[in-house]
Amino acid sequence: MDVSRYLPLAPRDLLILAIIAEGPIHGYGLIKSVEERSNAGVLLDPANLYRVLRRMKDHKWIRIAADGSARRRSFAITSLGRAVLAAELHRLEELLAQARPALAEGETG
Amino acid sequence: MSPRRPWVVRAYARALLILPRRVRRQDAAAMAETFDDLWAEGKGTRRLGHAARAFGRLPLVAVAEWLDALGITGGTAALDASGSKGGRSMGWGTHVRFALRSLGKAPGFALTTVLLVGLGVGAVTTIFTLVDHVLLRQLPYPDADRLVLLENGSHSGVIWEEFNQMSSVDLWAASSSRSANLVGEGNPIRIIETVVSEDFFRMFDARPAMGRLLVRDDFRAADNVLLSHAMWRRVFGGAQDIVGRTIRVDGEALTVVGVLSGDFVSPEGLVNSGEAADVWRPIDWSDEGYARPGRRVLRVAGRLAPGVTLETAAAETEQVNRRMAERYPDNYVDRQGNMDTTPPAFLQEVTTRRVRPGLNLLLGAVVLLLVVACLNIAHLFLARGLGRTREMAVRRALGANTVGLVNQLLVESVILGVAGGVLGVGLASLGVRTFLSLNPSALPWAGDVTVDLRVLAFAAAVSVLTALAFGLLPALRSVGRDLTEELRGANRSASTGRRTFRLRSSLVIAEVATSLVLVTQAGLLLKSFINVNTLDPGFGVEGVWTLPLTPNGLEGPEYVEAMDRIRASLAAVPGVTTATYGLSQPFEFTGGGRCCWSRGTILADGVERQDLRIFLQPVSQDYLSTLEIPLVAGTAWPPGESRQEPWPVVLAERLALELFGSAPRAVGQVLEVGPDTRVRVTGVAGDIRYYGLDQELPASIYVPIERVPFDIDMAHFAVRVAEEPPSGLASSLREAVWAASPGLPVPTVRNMVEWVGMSTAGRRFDSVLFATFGVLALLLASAGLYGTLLYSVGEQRQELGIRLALGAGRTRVQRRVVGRGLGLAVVGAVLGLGGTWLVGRYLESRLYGMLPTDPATLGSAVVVLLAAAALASWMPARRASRTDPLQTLKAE
Repeated sequence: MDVSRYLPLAPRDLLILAIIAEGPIHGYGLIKSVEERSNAGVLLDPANLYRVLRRMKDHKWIRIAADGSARRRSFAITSLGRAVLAAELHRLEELLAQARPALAEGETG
Repeated sequence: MSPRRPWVVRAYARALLILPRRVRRQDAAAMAETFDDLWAEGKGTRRLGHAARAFGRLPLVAVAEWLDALGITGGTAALDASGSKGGRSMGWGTHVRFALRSLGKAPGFALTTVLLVGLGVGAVTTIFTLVDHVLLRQLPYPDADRLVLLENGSHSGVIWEEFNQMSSVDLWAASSSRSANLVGEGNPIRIIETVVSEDFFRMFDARPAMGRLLVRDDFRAADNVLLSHAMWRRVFGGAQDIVGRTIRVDGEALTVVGVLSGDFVSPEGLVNSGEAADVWRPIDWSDEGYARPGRRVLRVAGRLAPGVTLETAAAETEQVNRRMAERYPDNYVDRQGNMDTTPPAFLQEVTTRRVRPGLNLLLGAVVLLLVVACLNIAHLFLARGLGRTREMAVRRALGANTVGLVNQLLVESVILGVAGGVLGVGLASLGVRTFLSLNPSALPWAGDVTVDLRVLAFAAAVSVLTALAFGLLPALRSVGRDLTEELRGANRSASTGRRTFRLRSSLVIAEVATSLVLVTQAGLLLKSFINVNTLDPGFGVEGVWTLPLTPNGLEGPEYVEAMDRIRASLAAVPGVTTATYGLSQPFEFTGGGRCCWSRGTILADGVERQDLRIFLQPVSQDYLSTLEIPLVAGTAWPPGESRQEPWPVVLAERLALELFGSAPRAVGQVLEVGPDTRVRVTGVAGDIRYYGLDQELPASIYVPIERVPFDIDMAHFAVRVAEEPPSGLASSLREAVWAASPGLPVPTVRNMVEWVGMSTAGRRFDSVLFATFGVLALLLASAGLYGTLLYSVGEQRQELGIRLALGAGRTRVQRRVVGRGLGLAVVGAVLGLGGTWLVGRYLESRLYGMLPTDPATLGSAVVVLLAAAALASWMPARRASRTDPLQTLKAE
């Protein structure tokens, strides 16, 4: 499955996708987790969150978890979503590996 | 929605209604729930932070969602699982094709809309182009925003030296213009000679087209000359070997060192566009006149040093003024003890001050016209939209989605907007050219005005916005109606009809109100023009021809002798009854300029009058009789007595009344009109409107021109012609001048009627322009009213049919419809009168002998408007009364 055309992800999207990947979660939980995980660096509001979630759902990266009610829907990751997440993390790791020596040299030199 | 939720959450849930329906259906409940949780869990500032974020970001999200929903941005809807564009939305190419096809089916609608957009955009763009060039754009000089002009006229060489010591200004330029006579190139030609200081061309970034500019060495010899590009083309036919040639100006032989580049823009305020310099020469600083504090001939501009404010420079110039006042109290302090000031003002600001209100007024007027055009566009789209609701409903039923339909309406609007914009730009470039060729108010800086990219961008923005705001929005009403309702024919249901009628009525009211403002403005200006034109100039205008001459280099008696020779020669021309000359003639200085002498003081029998501004008019023999200025008392001085002491003079009646209470009492009085100048009144002449029909009567004293104590380079002749002017009069007058004084240019021979006409040309132009706007607005408003009533009559066909069937008279039905139309017009007129009152003060300075609230004008404007409204209502009313009851009922 070629997922590279979805990359790169916006940092906010990456964070949201990563948290959903850890297990089904509803909107409120997502906002709190993103806030904690990013040390309050990424703050979400409901309208924007659901806009992102809707897009992910349309892309079929996530689906509505079976146990959710209409109001308190939980979202779970799909295999496509997991593949996108993995590809993005891989891309970032490679990028880091490529960029790090520059800083190391800067420090010694 | 749970009633137990806190009000903040309820408010948020309600705020979510601004999202598109599809988004709301999917997620609004979950969003509200999430917000509820956040609110319930948080405390204090955290909770407020969440709430602020949720509310604060909602509008942005909503905009993004709507853009998606309308298909303007990629959005989520357009992406299917595979990420490619789905079959649900069409490409833009298809939209354009569809839109063109659909507009092609309604050519009347399309054409009218394009014309309306074109008209509005054309008018606004024309005026905007001028405003942009004259008021907004930076002057075409380096560091233009630091260039200042020293106000209060011309300055002496003495103060110029002082200015040059100032630290807040790092570059100075001075110039002085006069008319001169060029001989030896065919007929003698009158030219404008401008002398400039060393840094003048540097400050204004001039480049030579040939040869070189003036350099410092030229200032030692001062007999080198630079030609303007226009002069080089006009007089020397663009000769390539011009550099090094010798030309003769006022008897001096000058060497041409270069030709100025054609794109050089003369700095307004130093060199006026009305009298663009033909030759440029270095200032001859060795001329001792520049050492006299009383000889003020230099226009002075400076460049502020970097970082210096205007205030700082103003403070420093004031110090200079103070020093001058101490050193030369005779020249730099007036009789009231006030020190002369020369405050600096930004060059662009000071040179456009005169035309700024006029341009802004015009801009206001064309914006109003655009508003009326826009409202009419809204009418058209509304009417078309109503016709299309069914089409839209059917297309939706056949599978077209809302996004697609909206997109298509969008494309239609934009196409009409763009077409209208193209037309508008075409009209604007035509309009700008026409405007400039008339150039009624001598716009400064308008030499090379063209419709350029900047203006095109402006026009494009106006036209597309117009089409979107007034085309798309009404059109959107046709989308999103329920299909079943449409197919049931519910678009003709009473409630929808009433809503639409109300909307269209408000449009009509707005149109009528706006047009009334334009119509009253036109009326006020027209009436002022008529007021001015019915004024009596005070002398016999018909049959007078004038020849302004510039005899240079003649000293006192020499001048009088030469001019008297010309006068005799002119008087001998067949058909001429009398000839005369003076320093100037009436109606030559009808702008801001005032020729020639003005002294603030007069002493009459020891009584000092300081409040009078007196105009000394040096004139020759037969002046009063040639112009047919009536003598009210006494006589004009006889030819032999002009040399007597005190000078024999004739007072204008106004001055005689002011000083002595009556004209006869003034005769024989002796007064002092300046240092060592005592005059004896031999007669009192009727007042004449010397400086223009709409100008104040000047307090004139006619004095013998032979007594004027210094050399003059002006002699403006007037001749009176008996009855029909003989053919070829102008050339025989020219020949007569040359017979007496070969080599003297005669630039114009003009009838006095023409001069008088020129003095009101600005008013005529204003009236014509505003009358055009007013009539257009009136037509558009009437069309709007007509369309609205026609629509409402159509709506009520059934009702009218029943009424007619039940025996209501046709007149009654007609009266009802006309009454409705007039009702709208009256509401609009009342609002319009309010608007007129609001804009009145901008017009005040252009009115003559009336207030902007002139009841007669306002009343007539309202009557004209209501008459137009009545006519526009009567036509649909006639149609209503002709409704065939049977047919109407059958149709249902």
